[in-house]
Amino acid sequence: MSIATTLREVKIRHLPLRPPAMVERRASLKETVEAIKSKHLGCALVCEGGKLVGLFTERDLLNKVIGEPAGYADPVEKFMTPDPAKLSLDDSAEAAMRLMQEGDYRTIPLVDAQGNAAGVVTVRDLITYLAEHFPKEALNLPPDPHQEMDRAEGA
Amino acid sequence: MICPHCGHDNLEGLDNCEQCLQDLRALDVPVPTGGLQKHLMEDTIGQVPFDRLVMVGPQDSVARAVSQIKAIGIGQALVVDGGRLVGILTERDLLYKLAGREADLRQVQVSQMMTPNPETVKEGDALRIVLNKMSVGGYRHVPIVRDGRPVGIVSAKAIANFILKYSALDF
Repeated sequence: MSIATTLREVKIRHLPLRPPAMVERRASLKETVEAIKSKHLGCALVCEGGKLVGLFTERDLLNKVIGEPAGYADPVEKFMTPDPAKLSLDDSAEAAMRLMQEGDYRTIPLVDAQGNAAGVVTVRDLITYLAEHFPKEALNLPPDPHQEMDRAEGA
Repeated sequence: MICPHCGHDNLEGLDNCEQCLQDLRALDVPVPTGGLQKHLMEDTIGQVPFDRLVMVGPQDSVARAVSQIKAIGIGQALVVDGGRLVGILTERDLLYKLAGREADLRQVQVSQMMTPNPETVKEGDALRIVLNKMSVGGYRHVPIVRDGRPVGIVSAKAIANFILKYSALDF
């Protein structure tokens, strides 16, 4: 199957998604940053009673917190992107790529049929999926007879 | 794997024919099947639009780097010393090393926060090479260097957009 067909047919739930960081909208910025770090991610889903109400990413941190008179005790809802563009776990990988391109997003929150926060898909998840499923194109680098090494091997 | 020189049936993956010792390495190089696969294997990084660049020095303050990054609306700066790439300062570095700390950013040097010696690619490298590096290393931005000097940066998003562009034409 070609990469293009795969992208159209594979659902987001089949991508190598990582468990999301989730916080309540009243959670402090400090708690949110800790939640993100503990999961080794770059964003957190902001919820209210399980429903997705916002997204807080490292870009929000850069633009609204770093270098500003930061209030790490302030609630995350002050810094989040409210009502972000979202997709469902059953949308296609191509839909995720298309939305990322159209909106210039790197991170898209995922919700279930009831609007409950269900996960997050990032551009990195898509790249990882493609590299793993098309190893011939990505992981198995063929020899390059004209390659010149920058340094002598072992030096 | 049949040797084209003597017809001996060799095991897959051998470098030389067991019978006539002819070089077989060119035979099992993966060949693109067409369409998007072909583009990923043969197109070079120079054919994908580069992200805009911010360059700072390792002794610069983080405050200065952050204001330059914000001014052009990107998420990272390349750290350059004497023209050569020595590190990259990304949003991820700021999140993991700075967030939650009350620090005067004018007193913190870029070299204390940056990721030193980042993985790089060259303009002439095939796209699959950057796809490989992003996937294996988990990077979202890979600097492009020419003789050790940074000339651009390629993002995971640019690669994803490239794939999307060709997947729309590919059936």
